[in-house]
Amino acid sequence: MTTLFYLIIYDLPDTKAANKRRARLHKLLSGYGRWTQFSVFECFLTAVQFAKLQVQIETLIKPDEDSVRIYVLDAGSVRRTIAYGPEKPRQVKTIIL
Amino acid sequence: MSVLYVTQPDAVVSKTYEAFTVALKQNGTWTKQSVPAQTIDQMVLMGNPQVTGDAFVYALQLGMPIHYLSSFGKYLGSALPGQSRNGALRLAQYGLYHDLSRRLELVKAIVTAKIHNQYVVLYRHGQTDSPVKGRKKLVQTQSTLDGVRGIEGLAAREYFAGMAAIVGTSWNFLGRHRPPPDPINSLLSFAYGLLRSQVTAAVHLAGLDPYIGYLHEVHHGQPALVLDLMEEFRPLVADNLVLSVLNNRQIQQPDFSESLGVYTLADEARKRFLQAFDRKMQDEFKHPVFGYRCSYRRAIELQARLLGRHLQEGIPYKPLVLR
Repeated sequence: MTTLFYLIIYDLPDTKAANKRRARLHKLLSGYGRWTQFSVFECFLTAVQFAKLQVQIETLIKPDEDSVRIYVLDAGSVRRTIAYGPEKPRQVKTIIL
Repeated sequence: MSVLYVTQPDAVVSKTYEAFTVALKQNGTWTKQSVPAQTIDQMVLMGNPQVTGDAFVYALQLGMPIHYLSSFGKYLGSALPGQSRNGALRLAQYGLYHDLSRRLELVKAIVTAKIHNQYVVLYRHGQTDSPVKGRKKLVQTQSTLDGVRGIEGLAAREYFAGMAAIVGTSWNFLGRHRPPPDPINSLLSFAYGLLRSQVTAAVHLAGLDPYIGYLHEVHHGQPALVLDLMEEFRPLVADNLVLSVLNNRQIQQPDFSESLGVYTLADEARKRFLQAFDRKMQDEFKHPVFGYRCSYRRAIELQARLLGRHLQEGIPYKPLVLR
C-alpha cells in the first residue's frame, strides 16, 4: 500500500465555537499523524485513510469562518524537504514504547 | 504498515477520540504519548500492559489485531478483528486433511523448503558442507507423514549443531531447548514468538482455520496450520535475525540475566531486538513466485493466501525459498 505525505495546516478564529472546533480538529488529526507545529500536522496516509479523514474534516469545519489547507506531497518532494530545527518528516514504521 | 509495540508492563493504552494515548511511567512520573491509531496495522503487547475497553474495541473496529506476548516473548494469544467467513475455504482445508496423498505432497513441499532455507542460512554463515543438504532429497523418497517428520527432526538437529558451530563456544549453545537454558535459545524463542504472532494474523486474514494443519498433528489447543506455515519462515526470518544481531554485537552476554536456569533479556536489549525484528520484517526481496518486490511481512500474508488458493483452486503451493 503506497502512502502519500499530507501536510495539514489549519487556522481557526478565536471565538468560543471555533475554539471548540479547533480542539476537536486537533484530536482528530492526532489519530492520523504527527503534530509538528502549533497548527500543523504531518501525516503519511494511504488513499483510504485519507478519504476517511477528509470526510471527517469536511463535516467538522465551517468553510466561511475557518481555513484548513492540505498539501499533498509525493516521496520525491518529501525527500527534498528542508527542515531547520526538528528532523525531517519521516514515516514511522515501528513504535516501541 | 506500522506496528505498535508496548513493552512497558505498567503502560496504559487508552483512546482519545481518533488516537490512542499511551501512558508510560518514567522515573516515577507518568508521561502521556499520543499515537496515531489510524495508521497502525498491528498492536503487540509484551508483559501485561493495560488496554482500556474503549481502545480495545476501537482497535478491532479499525481491523487491527492485538497480540499478547509474555515479557520473554512467548506467544500467549491474540484478539483478532472479525475474520473472513469463507466457509467453502475451510471445507477445502478440512478436505485436504483427509486426502492423504495430496496432504503428503503439501507436507513434503513445506519440509523441503524448510530444510533448503536452513541450508541457505548455514551456507551464508560459512558452513558450506553441512549434512543438512542431503536431507532434502531424502524427504522426496518418504511415503508416510511420519517419515517426513522424522527427516525434519534429523535435519533440525544437524542444523542446530551447525548453528552452534557458527555462534562459537562462548555462548554455551548446544542445541534447541525449551524453556531456554542458554541465551541463544532465549533469543530463538523470542523470535519464534514474534513470528508466530505475524503468521497467526495472516492465517486469520486469509480466512483459514488455524487449528487444522497438515504437518503438525491436530492436538487440542495447538494451532497446527500456523505452525505449518511458520516452518519456511523460521530459518529465513528468525534464525537469520538471531545470527545477525549476534554478529553485529547488538546483543551481548551482559544483556541476559538468569533465574532458575532460564535466561531472559534485559529491557533495553529487548527493545533493540524488537527494532531489529521489525527491520527484518520490512526487508524487501523479490518474491520468487509473484516476481515483484515485497517485504517479509507481506510475504507471510501472501503465503497464507496462496495456501488458500491451493486448497480451493488447486494452484500448486510453493513455499518461500531464497537462494
